[in-house]
Amino acid sequence: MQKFEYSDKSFRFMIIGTLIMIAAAAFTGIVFRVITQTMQNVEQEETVTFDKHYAFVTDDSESDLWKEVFDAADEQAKEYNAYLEDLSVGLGRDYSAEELLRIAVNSKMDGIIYSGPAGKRVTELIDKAVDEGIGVVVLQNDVETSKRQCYVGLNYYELGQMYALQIDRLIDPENMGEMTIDVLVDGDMAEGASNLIVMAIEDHIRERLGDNEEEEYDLPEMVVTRIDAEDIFSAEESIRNIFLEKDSLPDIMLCVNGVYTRCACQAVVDYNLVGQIQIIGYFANDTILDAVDKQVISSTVSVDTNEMGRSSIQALYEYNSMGYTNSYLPVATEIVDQKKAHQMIEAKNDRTGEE
Amino acid sequence: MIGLIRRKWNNASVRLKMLISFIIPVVLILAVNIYMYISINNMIARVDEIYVVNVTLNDLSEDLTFLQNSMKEYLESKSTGALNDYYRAEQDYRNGIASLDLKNSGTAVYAMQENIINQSENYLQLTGDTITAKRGRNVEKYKATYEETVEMYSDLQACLYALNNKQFKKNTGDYSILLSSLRSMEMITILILFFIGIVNVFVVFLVTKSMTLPLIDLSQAANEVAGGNFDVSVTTTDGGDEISVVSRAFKQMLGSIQNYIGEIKDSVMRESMLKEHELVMENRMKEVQLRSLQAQINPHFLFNTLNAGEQLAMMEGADKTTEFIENMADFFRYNIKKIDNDASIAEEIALVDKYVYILNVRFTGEIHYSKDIDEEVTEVRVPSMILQPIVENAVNYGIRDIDWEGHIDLKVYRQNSDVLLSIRDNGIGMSQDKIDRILSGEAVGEVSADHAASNGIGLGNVIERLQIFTGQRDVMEIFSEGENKGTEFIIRVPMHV
Repeated sequence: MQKFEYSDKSFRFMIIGTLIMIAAAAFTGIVFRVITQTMQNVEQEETVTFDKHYAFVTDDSESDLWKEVFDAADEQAKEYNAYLEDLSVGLGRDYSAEELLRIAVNSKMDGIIYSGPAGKRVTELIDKAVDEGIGVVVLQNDVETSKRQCYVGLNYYELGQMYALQIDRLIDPENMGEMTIDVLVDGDMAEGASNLIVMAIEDHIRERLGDNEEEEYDLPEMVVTRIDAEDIFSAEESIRNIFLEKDSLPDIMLCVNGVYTRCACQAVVDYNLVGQIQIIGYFANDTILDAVDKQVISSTVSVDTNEMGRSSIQALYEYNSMGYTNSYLPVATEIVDQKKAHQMIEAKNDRTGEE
Repeated sequence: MIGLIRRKWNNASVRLKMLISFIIPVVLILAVNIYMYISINNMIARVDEIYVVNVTLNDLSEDLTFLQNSMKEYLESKSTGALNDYYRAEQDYRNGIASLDLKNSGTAVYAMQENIINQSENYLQLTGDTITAKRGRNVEKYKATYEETVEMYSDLQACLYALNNKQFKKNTGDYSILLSSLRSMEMITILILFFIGIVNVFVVFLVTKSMTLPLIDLSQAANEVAGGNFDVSVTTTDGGDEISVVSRAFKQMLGSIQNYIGEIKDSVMRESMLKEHELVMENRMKEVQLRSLQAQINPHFLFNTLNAGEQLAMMEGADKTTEFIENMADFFRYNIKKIDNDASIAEEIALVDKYVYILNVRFTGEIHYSKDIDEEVTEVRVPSMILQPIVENAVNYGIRDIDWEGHIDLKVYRQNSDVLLSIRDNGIGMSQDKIDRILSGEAVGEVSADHAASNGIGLGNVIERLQIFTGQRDVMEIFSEGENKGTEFIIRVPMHV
């Protein structure tokens, strides 16, 4: 029996085959479309809309302290639909805070957050900025002689008192006259500022001794060492020099920034002087907390970087919107001793573990 | 819709089907290729565009350097050429700055662009002041402003570098993504084309197979037919393509051949039957002729003798003798003349009349002969010499030796489309067994043939000739109610043979 049903079958094959091929072609089209669309999204970032453009100028934006401050300020800026730019990023070479400030002023920013040396040129630039309607907020080292709108940071006298509270635990009134306390400050810090720190410490010690008037005690010797911070490595070299050149090393070393704290810490370890030289540091990053925990550093004064960053942006925003702002915004500080450091490390480990 | 397409497909020619099964995948592959070509071209165009910003920024940097140098040269030489260069460079730089549009490149980039634009405005203002101071020969001022421009120039270059670098990094990332996308698209295209190719091969294979398979079957069927086997069944569709047409034609041809062969078979069979009949007829005729020839010697001599006797009797005025001799002469003449031909019923009846007359003269009127004839059928043709042998049989075996008065009744009448010729006697009758043997032709030798008074033609001969003449089997019926109750022979012939 011969059967001739090929026409139906060939039609079926043709239809099914065509449908499969069309589906494959359509699939290709969709995939291509998706890829092209994705590419367009990759290439084209969001259209920029920000109301204010602020510059963040520091002499060491890579340090942990300023990174934390920048992050906090950036968060706050976003809430105000403002863009905070770290001017030092990507500029071929390391620019000083002064140079960056110049760029910021010439770039006609809406506001500048400045932290760095307070020289004459800096004052001029800040004044020029303010004259051109640019708000300037100074962090940490105040440029008192300038027309800056606001200073956000510590009062040096208060900082001295914080140090003094720590010194209290380390000195014995009976032989403190034989002790030396070295205060490491920035080379360009105003003399008044360093004096305020020293004064606050001495005042505190006197105040404490004032309760016991029967005996007279000599005050410890206070030395202010100005660290040459002209370039990136000079701080470390200067601190090493203290250990190498000085015949008598201080008993207590006070550091006014995180870099000095780290350098001093490393030096006491390297020269096997842990326990002999008590270091009271500044700032509380991982390295410093670890050192406190291990008691290489006696304690450290921690600054609320989040508050510092947010306050500076708030000050700029206020100035932009209202034309004035507070000329001084204090930042909370905290003493971190071994116990506190241990808690902070554990808390951080827990957070990391959870993540 | 599908039904319509299916019908069109079924009716399409093989060439068109092959063409469609080839064109569809080719069109699809072409479409995919074109789409891929356009997409990849667009992507490549974007790759080209990616670094346009870097080129622009490099140009800007060069313009800036030229601007700074031309200003410096003017300050040094105060030449018109340097001033012209300065103005040209300033314009170029302004145009370059104005052409920067990085609003869609992200906040950081846009912010950097804004910085560059603002710094450039300050810088151009300052260079303008410097040039003016130089022209006004205000040395103090242009020295101071020149120092500032150097700083600003340096800052601007740094910012341009930073922006260029940032864009370059971003563009390099985009470029990598573009390249990987291009590769993905190429890979997908190759896979899809490969896939479509495979599907196409399958479709073409299946379509051609479904078209050629019946052709192979058809060729096998044709081989079978060529080998002489016509028992091949072919199922066809109502498709309009060549193969459907061929298969239908083949089926039709097969049917025609089968019919033709059947007809030839029938024809051959009929012919052989006819030949057989002719042979039988011829045999019978020859038998009759033989008998006739045997008797011819006497009839010719007898005719002459009888004619002489008739004339003598006339001359003597013996009318009865004359009539007797005339009847006898007519009887024998009929025998000789009609044996090869058919005759009308009327002629057959006349012969019987003469025969009975002769017998009654011989046996002095012992036979009472009567007839009932439907005159309308007397012209119907029948084989000659069919009635006389039956009457002779009725006389010889029916009424010759009976003690009572013998009767023979001849009746011719019509029944439907047949003519019935009945010869009835009231003689000794016939057993059913004998009737059967006569009708089956077994009793040929027993009846009539060898009898001395016979003209030589037996009942078997009569029956066979009637059967051949009419083409029917049942040509004669014989009825007998039993011993001494007579016999009736009925011959049945159609009105029109």
